[in-house]
Order: sequence, then C-alpha cells, then structure tokens
Amino acid sequence: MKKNNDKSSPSSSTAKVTHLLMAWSEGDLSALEMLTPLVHEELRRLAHYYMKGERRGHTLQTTALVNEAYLKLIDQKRVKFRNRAQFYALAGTLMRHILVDHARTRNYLKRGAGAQRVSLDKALIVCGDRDEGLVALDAALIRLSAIDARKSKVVELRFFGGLSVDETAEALDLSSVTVMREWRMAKAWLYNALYDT
Amino acid sequence: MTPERWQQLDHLFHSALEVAQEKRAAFLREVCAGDDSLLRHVESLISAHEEAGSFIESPALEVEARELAGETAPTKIASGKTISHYEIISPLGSGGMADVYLAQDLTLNRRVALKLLPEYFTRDRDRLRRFQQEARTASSLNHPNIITTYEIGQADDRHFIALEFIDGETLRQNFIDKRGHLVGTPLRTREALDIAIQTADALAAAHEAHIIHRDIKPENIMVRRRDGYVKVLDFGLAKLTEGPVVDVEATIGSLVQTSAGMVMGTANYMSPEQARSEKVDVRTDIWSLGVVLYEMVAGCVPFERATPSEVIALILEREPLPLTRFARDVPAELERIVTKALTKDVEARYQTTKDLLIDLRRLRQRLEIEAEIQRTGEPPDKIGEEAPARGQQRVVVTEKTIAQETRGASVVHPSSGTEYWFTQSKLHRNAGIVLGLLVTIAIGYGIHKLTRRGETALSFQSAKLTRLTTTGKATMAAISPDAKLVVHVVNDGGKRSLWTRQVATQSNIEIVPPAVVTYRGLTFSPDGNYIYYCVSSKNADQIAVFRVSTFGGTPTKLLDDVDGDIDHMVSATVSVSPNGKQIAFLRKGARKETALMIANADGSGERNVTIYQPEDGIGFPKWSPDGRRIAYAVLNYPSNTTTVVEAQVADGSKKPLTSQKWLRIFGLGWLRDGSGLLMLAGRDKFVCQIWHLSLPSGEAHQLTNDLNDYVGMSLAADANTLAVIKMEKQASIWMASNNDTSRAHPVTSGPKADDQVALSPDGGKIVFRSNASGNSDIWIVNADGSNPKQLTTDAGINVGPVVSPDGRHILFLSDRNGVAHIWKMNIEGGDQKQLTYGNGEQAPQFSPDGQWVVYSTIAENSSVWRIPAAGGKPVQLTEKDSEVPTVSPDGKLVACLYKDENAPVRIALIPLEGGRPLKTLDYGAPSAILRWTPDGRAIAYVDPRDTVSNIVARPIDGGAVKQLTDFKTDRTFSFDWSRDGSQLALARGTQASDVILIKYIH
Repeated sequence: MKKNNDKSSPSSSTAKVTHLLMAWSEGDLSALEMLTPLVHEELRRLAHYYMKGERRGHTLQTTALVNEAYLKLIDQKRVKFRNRAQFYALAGTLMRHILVDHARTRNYLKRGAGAQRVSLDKALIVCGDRDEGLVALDAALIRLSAIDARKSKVVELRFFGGLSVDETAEALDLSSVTVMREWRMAKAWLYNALYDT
Repeated sequence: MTPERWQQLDHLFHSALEVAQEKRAAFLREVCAGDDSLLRHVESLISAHEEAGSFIESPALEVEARELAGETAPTKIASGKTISHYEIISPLGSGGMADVYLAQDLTLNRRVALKLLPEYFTRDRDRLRRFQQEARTASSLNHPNIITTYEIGQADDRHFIALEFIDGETLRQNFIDKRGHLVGTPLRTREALDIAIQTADALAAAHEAHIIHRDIKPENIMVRRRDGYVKVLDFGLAKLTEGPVVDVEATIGSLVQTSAGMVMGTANYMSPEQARSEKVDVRTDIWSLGVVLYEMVAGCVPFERATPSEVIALILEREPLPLTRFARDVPAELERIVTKALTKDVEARYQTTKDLLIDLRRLRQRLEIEAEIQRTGEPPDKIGEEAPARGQQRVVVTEKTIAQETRGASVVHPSSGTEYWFTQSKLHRNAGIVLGLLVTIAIGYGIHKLTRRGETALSFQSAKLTRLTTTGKATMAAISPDAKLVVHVVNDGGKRSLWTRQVATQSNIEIVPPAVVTYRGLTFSPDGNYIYYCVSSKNADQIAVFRVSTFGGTPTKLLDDVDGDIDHMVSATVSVSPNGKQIAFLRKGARKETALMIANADGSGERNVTIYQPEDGIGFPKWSPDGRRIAYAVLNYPSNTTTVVEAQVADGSKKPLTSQKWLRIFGLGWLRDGSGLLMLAGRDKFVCQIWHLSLPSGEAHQLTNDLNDYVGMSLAADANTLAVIKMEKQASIWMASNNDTSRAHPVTSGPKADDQVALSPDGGKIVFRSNASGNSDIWIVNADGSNPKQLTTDAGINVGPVVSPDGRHILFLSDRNGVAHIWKMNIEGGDQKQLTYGNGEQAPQFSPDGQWVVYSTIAENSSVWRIPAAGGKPVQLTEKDSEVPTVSPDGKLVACLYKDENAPVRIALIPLEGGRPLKTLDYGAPSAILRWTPDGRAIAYVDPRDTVSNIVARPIDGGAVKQLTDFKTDRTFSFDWSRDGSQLALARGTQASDVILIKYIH
C-alpha cells in the first residue's frame, strides 16, 4: 500500500527558502531580509484561510495547513544540509525573529489605529498595556533563557520553528524524552510568566 | 534563582507529576520539608501545567496568522473616509496582497475599485515594490477583457491603485453564491466556453506583450453582471513576485521566460512546471486556464486533495478524470481542448494561447451551428445519401453566424434503426464558409459524437455504423483487409466458437467449433485468406497461436507458449506482417520479462525484437503497413499508465509514438497509409473509447465520447472500416425466500443495469448498484420494492455495495478521486468517507462483528488486506496473488481466490489475522465475488462465463459443488443473503455484446 501522501513534494517556494536559509547560515545577513517577505506571505495566506473558514463556518484542517506552511518555509528533508541540527536551530531562531517582529508591528499598528483588540488564541490574550501574544511570549522567553537556556531553545524550536519533538531532539542533541520534559516545564513556567501576575 | 534552586524545582516538578494527583500534595510537602518558597513554586508550576492546555501547542505561525486574520477582515476603513480623492464606500474583499474597497472618485465622479496595500506592509520595501510593479504591468495592458488601471498613487503613507470598478462577481463567487454551495455546479457548456474564450483573449494579448499572468484561477476572473463580460484581474502579480524577468527581449517568439523560483497561488491551478519550481512561460497560463475551464464544465477542479502537497503530487502524476464523467453531453472537441491544455509535458501542450483561443472559438461556432440547425430545421426523416445535401442547406441558413469558421462542426440528428451516419459536407474554405460540417447522427447504441479537426482528422468524411450481430454473444471481432468479412468469437454458455460473417450478405459460417477455450487475439492475414488467432484452454495460462482458413478447415498450430496479458486484460494478439510472411507475438520469460517476438508465418525461426522488464507489460502488437515497425501498448506498472510505442523490426530500437498516456489501452490498429493508429483506450478503468493517434505528431484525440463500454475488446482497422464490440448489460434486483427460486420475484425493473446487490442483515433493505441515473451509483430500496433512493450522486463510478452487520453502514467502491477506493457511508447515504488510500482496492466485506473491513488490492499481484472499519492502518493478510475475500459467519476465516505460482486459481481459507492458507479448495471459474453461505459451510459464487447462471456452493469440507438456485434463463450477476439465510437478494439479467461495424465513406 503506497499512500499518496508525499509530504516531500516540492512546494512552490521551498527551494528558494531553503537556499536562503543556507545562505543565512553562512553569514549572508541579507538572506534574513529576503526571507521575511516569504514568511509574511505565508502568514497572510494562512490568515486568509482562517478568515474564509470562519466566514463559512467551516472546520478547516488547520493543522495540515500550518504544517504545509512550515514545510514550505523550512523543508528540512529535501536538502542535504551538512549539519541538519544546525539547520533546525537556525530555522527556529529565524522564525522567532520574523514572527515576533511581525507581531510587534501589528500590535503597534493596532494600538495606533485604535482598533478593537482581537485575539483568536485565547491562551495568548493578556491585559493592560503589556505587549500581546507573541511579543509577550518572546519577552518571557528571553527571561527564561537567562535561567535555563536549554528550555528556552526547546520552546523556540518547537513553537516558533514548528519542529517536532524528534527534530528538536536532533537539533539540540538530546533524547526525545528530555525534550518532552523540558517542554513540559518550560510551558508551565511561561504560562505562569504570562498570566500569573 | 540560583541554578541549583532551579534544578531542584525542575526535578520536583517532574517527580510530582509522576505521583498520582490525590497523593501529590502530601508528596510535595514531604519532599519540600518545610521550604515553603520551594513548595509554592512547584505548586504554582503544577497548577500552570494543569491549566495551560493548548497554550503554545499550536505553532507560532498559526497563532500569528490567526491574529492577523482577526484584523485583516476588510472592515478596517470606515465608509466616508477619503484617501487622496477617493471616498471609501464599502469593502469589496481582500486578496492575497491587498485589501480592495469600492470608492468614489471625487474628481471624475465615477466609481472605482481602490486597492490598498495594508499599512502594515508599507515598510516592507519588497512588497511595496511588487505592489507598484504589478500596477504598472497591468496598466500597460489595454484590452477589453483586462481590468483597467486608472491611477497608481500614495496618500499619507497609504499606497493605492485605483482600478476600473466591475459590478459583478468573480468566477469563484459565481460558483459559490448563485448555486448556493461551495463546490460549483457546472456551468453550461456555452457559458463556460464564453468565459474561457474571453479569458484566453485577455491572456493572448498579455502574452503578446511578454506578460505572463501566472495566477489564473476563478478568483481572478470576474464576470460583469450587466453583460457577462469577463475581466481578468491581478495581472502580473505572480510574475512580479517572482523577481525580475530575465531578458525579455532576448526570448524567442512569444515565450517569456523568467528566473525559476517562487510561485504563488493556489496549488489547484498550478502547472506541473510551477509545481516543480521550474521556469515558467506562457504555457503555464494555458494550463491554468485549462484547469479553470475544466472546473467550469465539471464543477470541480481536476486535481483536488486535502493539502497542497497532495494536490501537487496529483498535478505531477495523475491524469484528470474525463469531463464526460461529470457532464454527459460534453462535446468530444471540448474534451480534447481541455486535455491538450492540461498536458503535463509542456511541449505537447498548446504552445500559444492563440492556438487555444482559435480552437475554443471554433468549437463555440460549431455549437452555435448545431443549435441553429436544431432550431430552424426539422430533423431529417431519412438517412443515407441525402444527408450531405441536407447538411449543406443548413449551412446556407446559418451562413452569417459562421462567416469566420474555417472547419469542423458537428450536429446531432435523431435517427431510427440500427444504422447511424456521420457525414461531412464539403465547402470551400476560401469562400469563407464552413470547410467541414460534420453531421453527427445518433446516440442510441453508441458513438454519439464524432468530432474532428481538419489538420489532425482522419481522411474520412462520413461514417456509417452497423450492428453486425444481434445475438449478444460476440466477444471479439476482426475485419478482413477488404472489409468484406468479419470473423468473430461467439460465446455460448462458456463454449466459444469462431465464425466468419460476410458483411454484405449477412451469411455466417462456423469455422472453429465450440470448445471450452478463451480466445486471446484474432487477425486476418493480409491477403484475407487466413485467420490467425491466439487461444488458451480453460484455466491454462499457456496460449497457442493457430491459423485457419477464412472459411474453415483444420486449424494449424503455429506456436505454443505465447503470452502477453497486461494487467489481466486480454492482449496477446498476434499480428501478421503486411507481406504475410511473418507474425509478431509476445512471450514472457522466466523473470516475467516480456519479449516482443517475430517468427515466420509457419511458426519457425522465432527471434526477439525487443524485451521489456517486469515493470512494464506490453500488449497488442501491430505490424505497421510498411512492415518495418511494430506498434504496441506499454503499461508501466509503477506509474500505472499506458502509452503506445513502436519498435523497428530490423534492430529492435524503440520510440514512443505519443507523449500522451492513458490508464489502459485495449486495442490498436494501424491506418492503412501509416498516418496514424486507431486505439481503444480508457483514461480510467471503466469507460473505454475509440481514439485516433495521429503520426508523426503523436497527437491523440478521442473519436467517441459516450458512456458505453467498449472495454476489453479487440479492434481491427483497415483504412476505412473498423469492427468493435460493444457491451450492454440489463439487470434487475430479485428477491427469493429460502432459496426457492421458483418463487423469486423482481423488485426493480426497467431497461437499466441493477447488477450488484447487498442485503441488510434483517433482509428489509436492498442496497444495489444501478446505472439508472446515467452514471454508476449506489441505490437503496425496501425489500418490497418501495422507496427507491439514490445514495451517491457524485460524478465518479460507484460500485460494489455491502451492508454492515448492524445494518447502519454501507461500504462501496468509488473512483471519484481518480482511483477505485473503498468508501463508507451511512445507510441514508450521508457521511461519505474514503476508507482506503492505496493504489486501488476492491471487493470490500465486513467481518461479522463489524470491526474490520477485508478487501483486496487491484495491483498486478493483488493481495488481501484488512483495515479497521472505523478507518486506520491497513494490514496485509496474504502475500501471494489473491483477491475477493469474504469473512466466515463466525469471523474466524477469510476465504479468497488464491493463485500459487503456476497452479490454477483455488479458493483459500486463511485466518482473519492473515498468513498462509489453512486449506485450499478447487475453484474452476474466472474471478467472481465470493460469499460464505449463511451456515458457514460453503463458499458460494456464480461463474460469470455462463449466459444462464445460478449460484453454486463449494463446501469447505471438500465435498462436491452444489447448485443453490435453479434459474432457467438469464445470468445471475450478484447475490446476498440476510443474516439468517432466509432471504436471498439477486441481481439478474442479460449481458449482450455485439459486433459494431464503423464504416467511413469518402
């Protein structure tokens, strides 16, 4: 039985992204600049799906969509990167950078425009004047890294980089069990950091 | 916090989580031993752990996209607000790149569509550049079908484009809103053609200006409400997102090439080269327009899956289902156009949009003529020689509408009797009228539309169809080179004989007496004096080649041990060289490799021409008219596609004759002048049609376009006449109590085929397959015949229903996604879900506890599998070639057909868990559905070869076969018992197959 479910099919921008990531890892800082619009594009595309989905009351297979997007941006399997672990780590850092930046700008504009605050991810609603969502999480993650850099890195790779437990384990040269442990603790700590005022 | 303290916290947190919740507090108090701060820390972490739920479990990309979604809804700018001299009226929508508002131009006092780059992106220089470049590109195009750009501007950091406002809907909205649901109902052919023509017109203009759209999809095609005018939107978007155009001036012809790289857009409309991130040119737009045209006609896109990567896999690997699957009256020419636009090989696709546009326009005009004739002229009441003249008269009537037409138009006329005419009138191209008006008469028995184009068409101008046999028992036919004789196989109750029939006099002579054999190929010698045929005896794989005189006599055996079935289809035809001195045939070697071989006409002097490895199956060798080449079909098993190849007789060198691929080819025949081949081929497994393959171009187009089944039959062709076998089945559902067939009564009736039946366990409901809807669908009816209801309505072929032991679900096979898979639905027809995802599955059966579904795969070496009835991971139960499983009433055994190397097929009993057969039983029939008898003591089946057939049961204790029913007429196609065995549902009827002669007249 061969399942027609080849996740490694070339998707549109994969080749370019992979190339950019590799360039970036080799010290070409302009790669970041070039990669940013691609991530934005992907974000907007996903956002579009959600909007359409919500309007039509469809339950979308969002997990599949997000996985697609990550796959497009960080397709680890298609490239024989000389150091896959390094590649994963880079991807996580980069995604964090871009996404947090995106969120920061968006928050800023939203406040500036005086628009009503809308957050679809209830888990990330915060009160008051504090930064919201990813920005707040990023700040908390910086604090966590001061206490426990490894836990912070695990969150970066899994949450921002979209990596699986096993991929994270490979990137950090840890066992999957350890990654799960680190994740569990980091998640609880971050949750407290954001909501337990 | 010190690192030591943190480590302690970490350790305690995890240890505490390992302790059962109710004991945790005590545990923590104990281990913290009075360190209250530590205790509080751990407890707060644990409660956070318990509360956190999905917190950060969704990836950041999703979180951020959702946040974005919450605010990018096009409600941000309030109406009344002005941007530059535009006053916002209302939001129109949001595209991938920008938000669009309806606005009033306060200076020129007109409505515009104002496209705004979201402020958020303004600081993104790359995006801004693209936004502006898009506008400039689009504004450089001046075409009535391309949206007009009024202004590109900026006000207070807001960048905008003012566009012509079109009061209308995009094609996508058209699909959704008007029809009330998301997946579109197909448009009428005329409507679809109009839209496609205008879109192609816009694209042709753009391509001429070296601009490729690259993102043609229904969202970007707008239809103006007032007049149906089409406007193509978002021009140049995709191109500009891809970066600079590479040296446009230096490109050759009208092809515009750009650097390879990122391509945006929905995967469904992506061309194969886009999907592969390769360089794209104008031909990528041609593909995408092909997809849109397909979608308009079919109501669904040709390549559809849940995720983009799966869609891409389909785009790269699969051929779409033919349009006739979705709409029966699709003109063959439209099918051809779409197929050519959707050719994966970019070199074999339409090369310019102009070519596509010309074909679309021609087709529209042809349809207009048809409509005109149907409106103005009464249908001809006579057929025959008068037809061309009538055609001409009609043309005069409609001359003004076809002034630009250069060739090709087909018209449908009703007719009676068993003969059908295709005529084509001759008019002069330079006179500005129709060069060819192809008048198609028919429907009824078969070919209902024969359309063709001047440059690729055959050299016939009219065709006459005759039903040559009416016994319904002809299974294979070949026509003599002079077209005066037809030799055919007659199957009478499983005994087959060979007959020669004179076409003119209808006289019929038996030349080989009835015997229990299977004919595998049939052909005349070039002088018409002999018939060469391949034949195998019952259950034997060994095929021998014989020669017999055309009017009978003793057959001479020429060769033993020839082969060449591809995918279980009869294909071991023998072909005679044009000089009559050699024959070509196929033989399998020890490693399952197949050799194309030739020998002298008496069977001596065998030699290989070429050899194919086991991954390819070859069949239907046909010697070319010049005697130098042999054409044959090659089925590539890994890709599951078939194409046509020729080999040079002298040196065995091979060359594909076309880049086109079919699922299966069932017959080949050369045209006498060597200008091409006729073939019986199917884009899917179920409907096989006649195609013309033109040489040397390799272009193929479909000659017949109907739902009739020409499957598995041989095709013989000389220049003007070909003989095919057409199959027709009639069947209805019967019910019998206690196997008492004398009291059996019909439940359904009518001239249709209700030929597969399943009974609910209580015997109260009958689920069956029927073609009553014009498609193959699953139906349900009460056992008393009341309340018939169609359960499937999709365009795929739905067959083989079975009812679950609790009577609440139905399993069936459907190829709606292109390949036959097992699907499940509830007894009302709702909740239809795909259960298996392999390369093709068949014969599903429930285990008696309803937990498992057992089935077999449709591969070369089929095997039996099981899968949880709720869905899940399939488990293979048998290694060897085996199929059509059925589970015993006690749920312990699976019976299936089983083939061990060179032994005949037997019934095997294997454990439900899989493994080697515990026992095997004689079988002695071709593949058929098996069922356990309700008492669990025997395996019941029907021999499909018998023209009068009854259910027989083979006891598993090895006893003699027992006949369970005693019908004196008709075939039994399928049957099922109620759980207690008291009720028996049967599908019974007749299956006629006759020789149809298609004669083309100059």
